[in-house]
Amino acid sequence: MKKNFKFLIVFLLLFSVGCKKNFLETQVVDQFTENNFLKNEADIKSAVTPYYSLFGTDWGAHDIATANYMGAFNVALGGYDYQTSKLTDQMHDVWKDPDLGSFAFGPATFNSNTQTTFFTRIQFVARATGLIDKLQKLEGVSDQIKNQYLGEMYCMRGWLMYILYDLYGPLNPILDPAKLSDKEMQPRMSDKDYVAAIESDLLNAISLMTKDRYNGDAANWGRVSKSTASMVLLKLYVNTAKTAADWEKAKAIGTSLMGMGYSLNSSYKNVFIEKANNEIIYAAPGNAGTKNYWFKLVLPGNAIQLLGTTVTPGWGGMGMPWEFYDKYTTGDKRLETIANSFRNDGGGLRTRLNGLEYAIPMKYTKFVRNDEGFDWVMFRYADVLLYMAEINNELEGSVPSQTTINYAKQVSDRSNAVIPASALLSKEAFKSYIFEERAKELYFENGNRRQDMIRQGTLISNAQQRGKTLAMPHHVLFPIPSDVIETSKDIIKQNNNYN
Amino acid sequence: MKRLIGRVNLEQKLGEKITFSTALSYSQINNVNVATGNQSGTQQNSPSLIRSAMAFAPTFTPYNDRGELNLSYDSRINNPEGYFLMTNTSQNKRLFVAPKLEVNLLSYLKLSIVGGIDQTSTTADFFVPRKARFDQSPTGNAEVGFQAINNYSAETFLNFDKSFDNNKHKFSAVLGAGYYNTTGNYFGVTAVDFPTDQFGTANLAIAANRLLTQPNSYVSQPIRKLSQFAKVNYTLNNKYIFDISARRDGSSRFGQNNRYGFFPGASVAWKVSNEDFFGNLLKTVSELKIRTSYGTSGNDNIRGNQSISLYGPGFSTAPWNFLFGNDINTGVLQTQLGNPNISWETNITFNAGIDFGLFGNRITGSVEYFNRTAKDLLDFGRLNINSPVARIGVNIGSTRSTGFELALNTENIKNKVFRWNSNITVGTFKATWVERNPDVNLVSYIKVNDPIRAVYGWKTDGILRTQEDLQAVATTQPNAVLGNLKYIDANNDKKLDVNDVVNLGDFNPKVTFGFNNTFSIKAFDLSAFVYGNMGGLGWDGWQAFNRPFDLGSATPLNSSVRTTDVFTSFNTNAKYPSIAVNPSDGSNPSGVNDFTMKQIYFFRLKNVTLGYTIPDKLLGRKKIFQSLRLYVDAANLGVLTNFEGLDPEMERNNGPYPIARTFSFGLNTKF
Repeated sequence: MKKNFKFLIVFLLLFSVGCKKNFLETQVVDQFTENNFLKNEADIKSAVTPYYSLFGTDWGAHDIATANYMGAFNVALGGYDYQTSKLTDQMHDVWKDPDLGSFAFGPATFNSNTQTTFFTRIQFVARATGLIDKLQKLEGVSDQIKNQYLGEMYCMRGWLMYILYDLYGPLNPILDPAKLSDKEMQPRMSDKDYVAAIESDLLNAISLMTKDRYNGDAANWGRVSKSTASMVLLKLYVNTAKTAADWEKAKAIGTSLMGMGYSLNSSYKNVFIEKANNEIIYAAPGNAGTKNYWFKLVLPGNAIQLLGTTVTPGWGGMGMPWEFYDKYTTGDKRLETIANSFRNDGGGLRTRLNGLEYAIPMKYTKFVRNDEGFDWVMFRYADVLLYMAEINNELEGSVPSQTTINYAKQVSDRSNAVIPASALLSKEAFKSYIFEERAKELYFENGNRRQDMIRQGTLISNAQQRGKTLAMPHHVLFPIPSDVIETSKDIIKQNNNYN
Repeated sequence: MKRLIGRVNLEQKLGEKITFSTALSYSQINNVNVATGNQSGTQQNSPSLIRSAMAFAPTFTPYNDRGELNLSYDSRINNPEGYFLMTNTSQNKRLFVAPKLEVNLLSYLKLSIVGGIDQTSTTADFFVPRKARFDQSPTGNAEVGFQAINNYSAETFLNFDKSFDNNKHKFSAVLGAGYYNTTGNYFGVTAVDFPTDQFGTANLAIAANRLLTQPNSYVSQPIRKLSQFAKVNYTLNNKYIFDISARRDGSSRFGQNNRYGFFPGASVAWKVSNEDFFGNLLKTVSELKIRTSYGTSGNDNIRGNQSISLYGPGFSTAPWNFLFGNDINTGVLQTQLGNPNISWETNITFNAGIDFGLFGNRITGSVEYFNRTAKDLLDFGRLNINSPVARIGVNIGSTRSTGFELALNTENIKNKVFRWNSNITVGTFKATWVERNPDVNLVSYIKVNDPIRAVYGWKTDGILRTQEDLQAVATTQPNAVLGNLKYIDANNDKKLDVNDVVNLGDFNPKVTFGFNNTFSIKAFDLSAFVYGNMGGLGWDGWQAFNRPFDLGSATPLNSSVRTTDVFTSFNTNAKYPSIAVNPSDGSNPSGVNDFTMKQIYFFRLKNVTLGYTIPDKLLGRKKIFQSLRLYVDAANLGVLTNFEGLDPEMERNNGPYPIARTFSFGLNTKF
């Protein structure tokens, strides 16, 4: 019996293990927790990087926290420019998106779980709010460092809000850190408040950051700077301007950008080849360790040579319609970046005359194989000059002044294009000219074409002329995905005329 | 596939009262995997053989004049022949050791201590050579990975077993505790750009693109559990059986205050056929038992540990990285919002049944009613769409499934030469929601108590084939064109929107059944097994391959032959709608319509086996084999169904991998 008692003691000991608390203590070995994250500058850098990552050129990333796939804004296929260009006259969509391309899209076409229209970036605005709050309260890091990163975060939060505004109009992002975990959802902000919030973020960014630009600073190339924030602000002002006072604000920020030392590259083609050249205000950097599917997207399936460059076949997913290509006059240097023919695998030449359906908008003429990344130009000085011409024309009398004309002339001169005399005869004629020039200069760049056509009021009428009979005035904004409306208990109201 | 499996059981008596035993097994399985990724080849690690084979333009020969694999019009579609050139293998090794110490403390009291070590490791080799010419891996791509999952457990329990009063009262009881620990880790390398295909994954160091060649690794969070359990069983007169049990489980997946759950249970059974009054009935009803039980159990199965907030990089394949200058910077983002209140999910099961045997147990069977309720379901809840992390691990709502099951075993014929046994199971059940997450707003067309696998969508009424058809829907589908589907305005408000989405039915079948027959004539035996179900909603996923547009594009793909039955101006009697965009679709928030949906049934002839047992006299006197049976087996011989897609049981994605029909030949022996 004694022996048996010994076993009972062993048994009871094993049993009592259950009372020991740390046995079940949660262990985290491969991630940070609230207790050990965001302590020093290295942490801050890591925490800021994901917001940049949204602007990358690879497909995107799976957001573990929400199980959503987040396509990057600048991925060639599916990115911001690609999706919005489908609504415009600059894209021949070989794969014929049934929704965007035919203006058949409605609230049910897009789901917030899919990357199609970037709605879920509203979560990144809230995350940025949380990070800004943490940075402001962080101790043990110098103000200089804190301000630098705070400036970058304000810039990117403002930029994200601007992109969402461009696509959906004002939404209801969380900008007050105290409200981050509120159960109750706030309704969409008024247009005025939302625009003011973007403006405030960008102005904060400009005042907190110290650098105008990083063109001469190879190690920091890719960071946002005063000029990046100014550029987003300029776009915001131009695209929302209604009164002379609004245009004056646009002029002021444009003038300030012009004072930051940028200049036009002497060659249009080289803008997209020479790294960090003096025309580039912001580019998403790329190298052989990053990805970019641009060449895959635009190169036809059997192309081996075009524009004098040897290439490997791509997917041939999109092109530039001949009607758009014909906007360029003979000798326009910009045509050096747009192929009207290519040599195919069998050695034959495919041209417009033997059935090539569209021009190939290479833009980047330095071909890199294997989907390797390269610097993807988002903002550049030519855009500023054309905005300045447009702004000044709006503020001036019945005809544009010589200063105003010269802004635009610098851009056209570079490409051996001529401003037709008729364009200078009236304010309206010059305005139309500027839009045409922007189309040619900024083709397939950063969603400019859709924005410009909306500002000019031609997006829908042009689509209808191209046979898109379903295009309606309300299509200038995307619908809020229907699942967002449903799960918000109708707190988020749909954009007008979508049901 | 190659398998190697070894098992050893050792038992050692240490004195009269102590027994030490160990079960040990080791297995090694080498797999050649099929590339079944559901993409058309746009992901390096998940190209799909089936998708490529279906979409590759059939007008191309596998090889071109230069002897290279041919590319078709669309270079994104991999040449199916390329899959023969790639390597996609894995090797699983599993070691299982379970030492056990048993001590007979008293004649009616036994102590057992059981340990468990279960280690599984998998090495994976994936290599796409240059010559496969896969669009996403033009210069060759290799992935090698090693994954280990380790489970450790220790259980101690006391068994009490004693009868009193000449077996009138029988008691048995168990009291015990257990400890369980699961850990895991992974290490892998992705290598890109191979100057030669020669070495495959044998030499990753030659990969030339060092920027894309990268290591991947993770260590999964250790999951630990502690349990204490007790169970008492009392049988009176071998007629009335009572059973009470309880367990308390703790899990490290949950927050400090919610780690433990308590799960009791009880059951009662009455062996009616053992009653004295049953006497004469025994000739026909040889066995009759009525039973009922109520039990609860806990489930802590939710990914990782959801009780705390985490910050980390994204998945290694798509991290939140960005290039500054020439340095890739790693981003860290909140990856999880912690819920300190998350706790056990409880499953409550109520059962009532009758077990019976008739005619000396020639017919045996059971009828059972069950009602299973899952309470405090572990799932991800959705937070406001504009909040930083729009989901959180929570205990939400409750579901219930109820149903009947009938099982019947019959010995139809039984004589010296011929035997025929049948085995029938029929079940019916319904699984519905009982309670939903109060924090989540239900979409208006979903009702609280709907079936778990309910399908919602617009109803259709055929295809708009004529101008008259268009006229008829001028108010509800003003922009419709010929060949569009006609949608039903369910609420009759003259417009199509969210309010026209209705519950179309349940994916779960209404009835499931299995039917097995075994015949034996002398040394031969034959068995056939059929199973199936009916009454579940199914849709024809294969319709997604009716894509005339793919044929006409500048980069044409192969397409289903049914594409020719798509509505066009010259084929107005077509079965399928035209490819023209249906302008109303943008207003259908469910994104679903019932055009190809119907209630399906299927019967699958799952196995037919023919065996021959070599008679004892042929085995010889020395009897090297105690018994020897040869058999041939054919699996998945045929399906009878009203389903129009590829297979009623197949996954509905764009790269379905069919269920194989296999024939095997085998040998069973005993030494």
